[in-house]
Amino acid sequence: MTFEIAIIGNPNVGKTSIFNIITGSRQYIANWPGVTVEKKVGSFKYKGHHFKLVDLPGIYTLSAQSDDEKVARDYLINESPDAVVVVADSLNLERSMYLLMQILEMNLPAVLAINSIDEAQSKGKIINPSFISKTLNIPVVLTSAKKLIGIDILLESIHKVAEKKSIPVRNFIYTESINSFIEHFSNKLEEYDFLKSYDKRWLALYYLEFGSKNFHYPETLIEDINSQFDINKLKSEFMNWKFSFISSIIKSSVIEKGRSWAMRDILDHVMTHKVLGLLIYVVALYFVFSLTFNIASPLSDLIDIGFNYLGNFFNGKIPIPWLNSLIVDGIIGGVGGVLIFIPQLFVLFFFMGFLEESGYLPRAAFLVDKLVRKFGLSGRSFMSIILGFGCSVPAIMSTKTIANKKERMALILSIPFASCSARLPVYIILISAFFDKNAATILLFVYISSILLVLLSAKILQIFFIKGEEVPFTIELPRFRMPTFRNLALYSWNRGKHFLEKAGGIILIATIFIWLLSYFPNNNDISHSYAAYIGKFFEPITLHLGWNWQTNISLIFGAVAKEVVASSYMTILNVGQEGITYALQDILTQRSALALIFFVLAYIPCFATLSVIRQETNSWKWLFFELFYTLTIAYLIANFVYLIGGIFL
Amino acid sequence: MIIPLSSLKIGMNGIIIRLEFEESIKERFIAMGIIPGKKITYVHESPFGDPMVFKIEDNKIMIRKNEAEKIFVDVTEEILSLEESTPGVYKIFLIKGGLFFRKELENLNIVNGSIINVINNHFGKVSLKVNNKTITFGKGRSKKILVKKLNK
Ligand SMILES: Nc1nc2c(ncn2[C@@H]2O[C@H](COP(=O)(O)OP(=O)(O)OP(=O)(O)O)[C@@H](O)[C@H]2O)c(=O)[nH]1
Ligand SMILES: [Mg+2]
Repeated sequence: MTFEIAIIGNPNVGKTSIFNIITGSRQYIANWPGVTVEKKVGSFKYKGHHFKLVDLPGIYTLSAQSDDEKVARDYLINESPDAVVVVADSLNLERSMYLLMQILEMNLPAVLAINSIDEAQSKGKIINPSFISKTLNIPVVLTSAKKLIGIDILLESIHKVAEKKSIPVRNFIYTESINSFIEHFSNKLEEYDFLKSYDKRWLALYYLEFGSKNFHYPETLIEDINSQFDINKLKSEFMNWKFSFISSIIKSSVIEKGRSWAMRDILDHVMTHKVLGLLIYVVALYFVFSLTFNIASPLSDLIDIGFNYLGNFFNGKIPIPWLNSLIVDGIIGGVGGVLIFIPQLFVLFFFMGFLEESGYLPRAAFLVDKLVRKFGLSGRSFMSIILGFGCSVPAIMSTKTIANKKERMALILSIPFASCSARLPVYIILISAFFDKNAATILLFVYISSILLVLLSAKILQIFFIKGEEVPFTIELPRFRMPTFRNLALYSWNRGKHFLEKAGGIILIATIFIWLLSYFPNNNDISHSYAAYIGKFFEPITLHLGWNWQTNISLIFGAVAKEVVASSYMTILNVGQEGITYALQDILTQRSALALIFFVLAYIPCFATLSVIRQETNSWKWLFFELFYTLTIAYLIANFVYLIGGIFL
Repeated sequence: MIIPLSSLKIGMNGIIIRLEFEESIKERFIAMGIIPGKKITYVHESPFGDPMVFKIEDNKIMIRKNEAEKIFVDVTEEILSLEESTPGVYKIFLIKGGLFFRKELENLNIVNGSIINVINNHFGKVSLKVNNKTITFGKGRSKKILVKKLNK
């Protein structure tokens, strides 16, 4: 048989890190609250038994606000796992105990893992797990997912608890009046058959804490209870009981020497500084873009040489002309045309990884919160926008933690304007060909425009949505952590792998398609191919921007995935990385290239993004709206940039 | 003295007394660690003074001004900016602002912990005495100097 084990705890305490270690998976980890937004399942074997491990989004309390929190709460209420691992943060133990108490009230079989014990040690904080364990009658393990401490003991405890079946009785000594409330409530519950399967004491306490909102309590029961008890008074009595119970446990089990983290404090003051905070970000971004052009580009030339060699090697070896062309011009040229950008993408991923792992993101949220409120957004939304620089898909997923529906919907539909990594190859070939002198500056300008575009779009779109529930926005600023090289490498690899999978999948298919259209019907005479016919069909609306059929057909294929714009240019112009510069200069002007850059920034989200938009908005209507909307905005902007470009260029 | 969290000056701390929210929001703040009886310190200010970042134990939480107005704390020592001071004796608590400003004040013998005597405050333009020297600060500068009132 298989045991089912759930992992629960406050946001950002290291739940997924522990999940990854135990199951050997590579789920998304980062140093900000709200990374995991869905239930994730893995499995492992221990002492001959099969275990199913469920990782859940972080929650502070069972009264969930946003969609991700509801996933965790509903799991706890509706499922009955064989053990629940409550992960706590050793530097915030008291707060974690609050959630732990709620879970113990539910009478779930729990194991407490006090994580990040390495950090507690470096701060001189000593925790005595056996005292907590005795008081609460649950196993307590000190762990570190970073230094791999305590994982074996954790597994052993999980195994023990899961096998035991019966839950040890935990008789907390509440006050007199709370006890009589529980007594009365449970007796009343006997009258309702459909509540038989629930734990009666828990239903009583749950009502005391959260009222009738989150559970289907019968009307008649509520009426009876409210007439007999002063609920508000009891509630605050219960809360006070809990606070003093928790702090008495902490007092007897924790010794603090209070060693300070002077270096981290200084760093934090710089990162959250009124002026420096954002300036550092912009300078860092500029630095990253310079690296992209100066360090990464030579590397990608090397890869290009490799593909050229490969192409030349095959060329002519295949006796059937069309097959030869398919392999050499189509597959090697096209897929290679995307793969050569790997070095640039890795530079960007590394940077994104640093932002996410260090704890910078929530600090940026703090700095801009007031500013972006003018656009109907919150600092939390700004975090999702920055994530969008990596990829729109996880960025859209991350909006699940936004409790305000209106803000969330507008953001989902606007995030595709945040310039994702797939657009980078297109910018690179265009900027290298036309703006080589101030490459990094132009790229920075594109990215900053892209943030503005998202903000404006979110503002405009909010008129379509009815006002959602206003909930106060607060966010925890995680501790600064120096990202380890290993974590950054893993992060970049995860992102890079996705890119490689795309190259071998959808990009390969698109490439073959492009080749077909450009080879037929006149055997490799591109200017009289289907591709040319289609591209020319759109020339009436693009020629005034200086875009001819080659550009049009590349843009059409780029709708699949944006990097395809770059690779299809290479296929259609029949050149590699080094030749592309001159080939582009033949068919575009500076002005039309700039307009094109902005068009690519804004137009149609890729397939993957569209499908996640469909999933998160739960409607086809918004998907089609998004197609029309982004295309219109992109066309308008391209025209605008072309006009303005006429003045300056 | 009991004041809302939003009136704390940077660096100042207090003990949380009560939260004046509707039940579900209050419970959430508590679950995030804003627990009555805990010590809370205002540690980072943002460009517009809103939102604010507070520290409770090892945890930093960002709270918007709107909500900070509804969380009440007990402060044992009252800290105010020089701009808000009335004549009397004060101790310098914190000097905000850049390195140059602090250096300049240091030359005037004004550092954290120095005792000053405010002579008059004319709409934020403050005259004060340090070591028998009289100095006057304009509104902008007196805003950046936080002081603690000493018993008369
Ligand atoms: N020093 C240290 N850092 C840790 C430890 N465990 C996790 N971390 C870091 O803590 C951060 C959060 O880890 P996650 O595993 O994503 O946390 P989570 O609880 O799944 O977070 P959410 O999904 O957002 O609720 C990451 O930056 C980890 O590298 C630990 O034991 N020691
Ligand atoms: Mg997680």
